[in-house]
Amino acid sequence: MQESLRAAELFDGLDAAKLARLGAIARKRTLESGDYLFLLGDSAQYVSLVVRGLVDLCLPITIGGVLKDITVEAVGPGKTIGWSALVRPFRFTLSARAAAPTEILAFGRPEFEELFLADPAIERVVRKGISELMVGRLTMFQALWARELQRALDPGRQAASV
Amino acid sequence: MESALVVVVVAVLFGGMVLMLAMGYQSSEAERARQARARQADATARASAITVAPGFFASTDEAVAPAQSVFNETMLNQLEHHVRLEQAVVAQFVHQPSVDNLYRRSGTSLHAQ
Repeated sequence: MQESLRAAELFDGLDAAKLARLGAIARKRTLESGDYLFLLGDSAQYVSLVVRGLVDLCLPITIGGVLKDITVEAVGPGKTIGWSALVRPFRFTLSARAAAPTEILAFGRPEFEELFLADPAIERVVRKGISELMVGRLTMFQALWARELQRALDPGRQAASV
Repeated sequence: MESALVVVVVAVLFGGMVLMLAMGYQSSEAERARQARARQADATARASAITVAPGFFASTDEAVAPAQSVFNETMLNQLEHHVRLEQAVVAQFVHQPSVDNLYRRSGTSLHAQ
């Protein structure tokens, strides 16, 4: 487990002692391909770290009257999913589905908060990692939206660019 | 005589106050109802705007073919392929935001499919 925690982007910079404290509150979970870890709108109670396998983050879209989950991002080992557990209103904004046999480490919000109180250095690192994750997601969706809007307004312009 | 006059004056004053209170209550109720109607109209307008918004992206010059109303695995694959290509292009924008990176061509378009 220590090795997985050391490889996690979210815990980048934390020493072995602090990683051990994180390991003490982590819960291991395995998923089969196609299993859902959470659904959009679910109460977000835990942040997860992908240890092995692949998790698709999906957005539900209706195609021909049928609601289907479209993969918008694939998350592999070392990456974090479920930042909504640390940010109000504590609801998942995408669904997460295993794209292969997957192993994760889950960190419950109450345990995280208790640890943050006991060790503010861990909180600083985790909050920084969560902020970077959110900025990346925001920027990605902002760009995807801008590109679709640009196409709708002026389909010829994008084809002519770069 | 004087006491009768005082009684009349007091009665007129009291009646006037009651009348003013009643009118004030009525006008505040009317104002409250007007504000509620305005809020409702605003909410309805916002809801209609949300309902109409997706149409902005949709093609208006073609009727939806009956075959399209049935779920189609190919369509799902095309959509995921489109998102993957778009995301690969957008990843460059995420690491280095610029107008060129934002509108870099990905060679995919949902509208062309």
